[in-house]
Amino acid sequence: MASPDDRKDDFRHIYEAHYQRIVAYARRRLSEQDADDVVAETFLVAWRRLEEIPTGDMTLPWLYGVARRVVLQGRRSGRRKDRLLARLAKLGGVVDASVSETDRLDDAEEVRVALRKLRPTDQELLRLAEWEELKPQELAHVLGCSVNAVTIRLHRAHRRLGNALDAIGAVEGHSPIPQERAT
Amino acid sequence: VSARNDPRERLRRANPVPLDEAPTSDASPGRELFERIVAAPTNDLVPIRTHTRRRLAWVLIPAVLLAAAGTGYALLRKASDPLLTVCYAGASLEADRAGVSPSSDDPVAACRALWLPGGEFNSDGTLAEPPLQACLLDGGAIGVFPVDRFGGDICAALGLAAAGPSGDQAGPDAVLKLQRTLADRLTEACLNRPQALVLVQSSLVEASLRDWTVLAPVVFTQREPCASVAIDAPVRTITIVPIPPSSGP
Repeated sequence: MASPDDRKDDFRHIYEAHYQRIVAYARRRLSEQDADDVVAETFLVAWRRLEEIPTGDMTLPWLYGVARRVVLQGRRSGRRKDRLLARLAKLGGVVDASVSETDRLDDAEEVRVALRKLRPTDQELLRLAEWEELKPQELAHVLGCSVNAVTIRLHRAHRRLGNALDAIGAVEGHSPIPQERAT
Repeated sequence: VSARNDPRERLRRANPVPLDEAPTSDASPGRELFERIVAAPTNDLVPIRTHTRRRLAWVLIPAVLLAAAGTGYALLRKASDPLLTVCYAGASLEADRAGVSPSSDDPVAACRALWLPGGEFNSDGTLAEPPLQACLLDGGAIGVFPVDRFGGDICAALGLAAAGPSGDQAGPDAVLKLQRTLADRLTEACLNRPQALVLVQSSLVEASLRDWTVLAPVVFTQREPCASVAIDAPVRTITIVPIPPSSGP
């Protein structure tokens, strides 16, 4: 068994290498306070299960897997809060006088609305792929399925997102990127 | 589909928290969290302590259940009774253990019940009840250990002071006061996580218990927005946990 100092050093290495990504992961899904709790819980689990953490490229997917389960646990007991946050997120946003910035925010919000129309499993898969930038092998590790299965699911999820965006564009009656049309 | 209209590209641009906007581990919150985590007692990692965790849960669960049942804050106070007597299953600080509320002035008598046939340390009734000795633990709690068949002063063998036949309560006074303070404050109002952290940390300072660890690892939610605490005196740790709000005082 490693000495306490060695153990602490091992944990520090993991913590310093991946803290920022886990914080970003949590804040993309939760309020800042809840995200901080998820980060604390995730690394507490990592500290307690240090000997079980895979090394190398699989360390971060392992941490994402823990964080994902912590987020899911919180969501199961707090769905009302999620709905409230979603409503607040729709109302919020930075007010910027520049046209391009306003358009960019509108488009981002439109994408997020489309994302929320998908099944939760598709939402998480797309976020992990495009926001966390995980590769299929890493996605498979986080989600606990085969690389082949994750590739197929990802392809379908992208298609569903495209359909949802098209539907929103049709209802709104405008292009998702107005400034491009103008050029 | 142009790159800017590609759903994947649009989703990437909709990322609400770009990585470079997230704080790094060397920022203040990251450093503090690291220190808090690694300061958690390392022997908490040893599997044998799962028994202790179960006992810790035993302290918490009544508070949660009773609050959920709407029976009021007064019952939470009962669940927060001081956990000042710790019964050990062996003559070692690493032995399996169970906390008991000090319902009597005699900690040895409180722990003896666990050694009776069917008790927690003698569930199949095959053990003879060992002689017990009360010692003063570093955290101020009373620890009651079985004296092995060769006799001797188990407190001295473990580097602890003997608590005396009736239990020396002078040491745990600060812990007792802390527990009463926290129970009072947490039963008066529903404190959120940051408020509870401030309360616990300031209460520790007031009680001159500066080397204690405060943990708050569980997510507070809409359903469980109020803080409760579990006090693990032997390892000098207070864990803040979320519970549902009570229906009334």
